Amino acid sequence: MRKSFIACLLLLSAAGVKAQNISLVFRSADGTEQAIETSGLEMVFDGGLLRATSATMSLSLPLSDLRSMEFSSIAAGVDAVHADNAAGPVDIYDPDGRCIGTAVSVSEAASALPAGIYIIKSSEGNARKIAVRK
Amino acid sequence: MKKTLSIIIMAAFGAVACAQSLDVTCGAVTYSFNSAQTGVMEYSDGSSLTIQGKEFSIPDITVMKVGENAQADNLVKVTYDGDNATVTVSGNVASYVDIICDGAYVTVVQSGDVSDDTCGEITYRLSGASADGAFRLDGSYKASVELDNVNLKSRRGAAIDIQNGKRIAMRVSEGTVNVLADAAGGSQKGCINCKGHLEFKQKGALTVTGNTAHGIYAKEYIELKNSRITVDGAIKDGLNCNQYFKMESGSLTISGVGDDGIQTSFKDDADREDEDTGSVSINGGTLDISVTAVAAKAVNADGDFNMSGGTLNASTSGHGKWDSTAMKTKAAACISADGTVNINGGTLDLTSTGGGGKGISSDGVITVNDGNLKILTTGGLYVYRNGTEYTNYTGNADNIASNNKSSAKGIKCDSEIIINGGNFDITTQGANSEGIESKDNLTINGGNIKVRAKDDGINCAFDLSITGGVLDVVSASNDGLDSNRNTYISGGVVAVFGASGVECGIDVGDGYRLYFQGGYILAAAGNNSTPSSSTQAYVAPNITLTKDTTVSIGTSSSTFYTFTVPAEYSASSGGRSNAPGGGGPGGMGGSKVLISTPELVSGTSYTIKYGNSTATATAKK
Repeated sequence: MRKSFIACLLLLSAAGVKAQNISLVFRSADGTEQAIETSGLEMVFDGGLLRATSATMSLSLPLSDLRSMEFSSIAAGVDAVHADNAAGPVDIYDPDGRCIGTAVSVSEAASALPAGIYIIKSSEGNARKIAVRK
Repeated sequence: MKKTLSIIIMAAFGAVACAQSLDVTCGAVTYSFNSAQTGVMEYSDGSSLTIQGKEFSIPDITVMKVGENAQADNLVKVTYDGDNATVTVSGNVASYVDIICDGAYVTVVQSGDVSDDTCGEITYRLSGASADGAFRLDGSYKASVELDNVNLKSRRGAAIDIQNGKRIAMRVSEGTVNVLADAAGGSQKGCINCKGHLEFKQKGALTVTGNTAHGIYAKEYIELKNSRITVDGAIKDGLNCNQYFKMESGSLTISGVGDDGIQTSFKDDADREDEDTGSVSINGGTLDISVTAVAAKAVNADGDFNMSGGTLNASTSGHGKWDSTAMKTKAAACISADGTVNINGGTLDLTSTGGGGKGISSDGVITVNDGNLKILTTGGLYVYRNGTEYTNYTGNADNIASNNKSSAKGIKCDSEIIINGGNFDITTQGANSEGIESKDNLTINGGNIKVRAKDDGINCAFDLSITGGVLDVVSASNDGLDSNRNTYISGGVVAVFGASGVECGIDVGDGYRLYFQGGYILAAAGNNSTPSSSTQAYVAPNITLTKDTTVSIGTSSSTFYTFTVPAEYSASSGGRSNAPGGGGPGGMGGSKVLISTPELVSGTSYTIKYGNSTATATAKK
């Protein structure tokens, strides 16, 4: 289990290096998230859509569904996940894989952390990404 | 623990996301948010977007771009380009400013919520050029306006109009050249028009033209430090403010103005705050002020004029005028103070050429402790009589009421004058122009005082007391020293030269006395008043002094003192030789030469060498 957690962190650490090109993560009303790299990113509003175009990709998002957007150092393309309320002490890591603290539960971590993306390692040794919204 | 954790997390997050910006452009205004500060940016109903408390209406957003470099916090940049201007607002203050761009006319309304507890002071940086633009700032919290190579000519009021009653730091960025001109025929009080107090800082250059009223106007005080400011024209004053004007360093050049160079007034005559002094204080820097208007002042203070350092070069060329409200004449002056004048250092070079024009004119006490004062007046007598103005009256003015005439003077004081030090070089050339005049007592305790006057060299309405200093005074047509009451000389070196007859070296008031109590004294020409009740003896030799010669007194074996007869002195034929008593206190008929030194003993005969001649005289008291 420990090996898998370290491997996960290494993977995420690698992703963190990649994520030096910061992404902009959009969240919709249904909780789904989509990210786009910020390099050369331009956004306009047109016909009820937010049209975002960066150096490497583009997105069109219905304004009516759009709830928020946020800069993130998670590389665009990493699947979005939701925070859960799993009990038990958890370790908290930044997207670069650095341990930045411990909390008694995911919910407490979420309440203490500023908005952003974090990696949570549960007491069972499971690692997962959470998005904290403020 | 939680707090510590948060701090660690925020630092880590900030380190990752600090550099980029999200630039939200709405027409001519771009709001530049630091990606490390934005957090969650909320959309609402597809109609609005809120970032760091700034709510944008989606239809107002032209484009959003992510940039590589976030703008520094607390900054609003205004860039002029011909008939347009663009504005970039730092994201952290986006919710605290409302901006309207009308072509190149930019109006910023700073929220009343701005304070040290919220975003803190905001800097407005102006750059670029427009021949049809202006900047207006409203608000209620202190702010900085930074001039960064901005060239603005307004056709709608002031070039910079600050309707913010707090402290405005006007930063003239080092190495920049800034030019401002306002619209003609407006209602603004200045090309730079400020409701609060203005503090000019930094070492850049700024040129201002006031086409409606003043060049620079502030409803409260103005301070100048380091900046190089030129007012090259104004319909009224070059710089006009209430409370006070204080200069610490830098330079201020004023010319081409329709009224005064610098005018300070009391803000509130009824309930004055501590800073409401109406004063002008110069502690450093260089001022070059030239005014030409009738009765204009280069520096005009409702309160005190204070100088402790720096250089003031000032000139006036206007003649006097008749004030039909006050029913009296008013004259031009390089320095005019309704309060006191206090000079503790610095260099003053003052020239006034109009009829009645003065170097320094003060209602209150003038005190000079140090400094270098060079004053030249060339104007004659200004007279307003029976509805007719005479800018250089040459007739007998004795019977003209004082309110109807104004004579040029080097220094004129309606109160007491006290000179404790400093170097004076005063020349007056016009008719009736005196060197130094006090309407009260005049006391000289030190300093080097050279006066070359057309009329009295030094004149006072009450007592004249000299305890120290070096006086070198010549009057071309009147008295060297003239007091209307007693004159006391107890120290220093006093060499004074008058004209002839009743216009003499030392003249005291009728019924008053001349006291020699110490010092080295030479009084020449005319019928000098006769010393009486003195403690120091004097001689009154029957000699005639010639310019550019020396005159010394002593014994056959020693010289007590040698005086130099100035080049400007013309030997007179007036006065009586060795006239004892001199006609009593204040009376005429005294000797044309008086010499007194502490070494003289009454009843002893002394040798006087003058030019190539020698005379003897017996000392007396």
